[in-house]
Amino acid sequence: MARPEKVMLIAVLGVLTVVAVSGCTAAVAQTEEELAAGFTERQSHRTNLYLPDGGTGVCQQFSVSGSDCHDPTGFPTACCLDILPPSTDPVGPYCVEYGPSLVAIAQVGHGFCCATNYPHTAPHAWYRFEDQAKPCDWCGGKTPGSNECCTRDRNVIPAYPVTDPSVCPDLMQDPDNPPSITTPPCGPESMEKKFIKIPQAIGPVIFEVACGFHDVCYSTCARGDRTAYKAGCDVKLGDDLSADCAAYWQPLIDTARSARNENLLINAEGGLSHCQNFARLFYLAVSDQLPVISNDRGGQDAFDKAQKKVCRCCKGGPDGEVLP
Amino acid sequence: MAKFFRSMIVGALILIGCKGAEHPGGNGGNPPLPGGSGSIAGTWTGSEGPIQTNMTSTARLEIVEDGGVVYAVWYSSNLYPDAGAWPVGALYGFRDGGTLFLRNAAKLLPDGGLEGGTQFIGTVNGSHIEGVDQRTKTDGSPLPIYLKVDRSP
Repeated sequence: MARPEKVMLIAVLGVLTVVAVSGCTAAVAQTEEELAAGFTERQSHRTNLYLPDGGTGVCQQFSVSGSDCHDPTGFPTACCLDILPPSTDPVGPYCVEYGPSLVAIAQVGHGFCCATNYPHTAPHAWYRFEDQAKPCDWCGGKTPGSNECCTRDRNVIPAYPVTDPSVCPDLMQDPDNPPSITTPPCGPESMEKKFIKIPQAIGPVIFEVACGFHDVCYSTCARGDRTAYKAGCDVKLGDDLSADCAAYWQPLIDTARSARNENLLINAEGGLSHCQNFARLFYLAVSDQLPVISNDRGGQDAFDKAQKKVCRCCKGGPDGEVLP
Repeated sequence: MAKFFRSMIVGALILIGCKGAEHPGGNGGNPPLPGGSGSIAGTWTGSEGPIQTNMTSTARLEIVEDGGVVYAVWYSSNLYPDAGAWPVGALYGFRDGGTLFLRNAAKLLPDGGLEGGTQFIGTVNGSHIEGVDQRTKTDGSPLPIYLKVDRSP
């Protein structure tokens, strides 16, 4: 197939794809994100992109390269030519490389790479298509692994260990340190040697699963609000432990109540109460809310230590020049 | 995860070095105990349970005290004869002479106050402590858990 014909075919497919995805409408209501970013309307033929500060980014200023792609995870895809899902393009994914004059657009939206086939004509449409596209080889023909980064000169280098998560906006999981569960899940053996025996169960109630989930939560690299993330891990632990307690004791309580066995009932109530207390102590301990540890941040320290181990960072490296 | 229970011990050690004024109920001194004087810090063992006349579970209190402020980890065998290995309470509060006013499993608030938990009131008499933790049954009615422990050698 001659190149112009292929281009045309791709273009047609692209238009069809976009039309299908957009519900066959030329004007679609804007998303809140787009409105917040300054978009006022969505049209099928549009050349200007209105930025939040009132400036205008012109799509024609995009520098389109046939085989070079931008960051598939962090860059915007607000203004593109006709697009295709890269996976369906027989000649490989074509992606948009934004020119330096439109850096401001990087603050608008985000998504995967664009595939375009009208590199020499003015763009006439823009779409959001995060769900359509797949990441492509965007770093000088290479695709960095999950523990690698792409430098500005298009070299793939290892990601940086995270020294300060607050200055790393693109934390990612280190594949060499995937989410994991400690052995035993409810506490290291070293604790038992020191002073406190950490039970994996209280009586017949097994806590290993709940503790395992908490371990996995801590050892999963958190993106965004890390305080809220940790709190979520801790709350889930408390809820899971409490549910484990109720799952065992409540049927006994119900049975004792039905049988009017007062001794069994009160003992079962006592068992449930102890179990719930134990669950609450665990929650308070990991969330640094036990009164005795008012000067101690053991839970936070453990979380930070785990995150430091499992997270890798591209931005925020020593030279500060690494793309996400 | 549960490694954080170490923090309880670390915190307890910190507490030893703290001034009572930093903690609720701190009175800045060591009031003498009835029948004796000095701290109640240490290990206490005995029994506990919801039926006062038949406390079948073994119990152990690991107590740290600083200037009248008391922190204790409560271990219980619960209904299972396993030497009281399970931490089922973290008691925090103060001792006024021979009376303990503690809250069990309370949450520390940012302003230093406590929230939630249950009320434990006990008496110290020489080498013996008795108390009751006021819990609640699933139907909302009271569920006292009684505790009797003696100082371990």
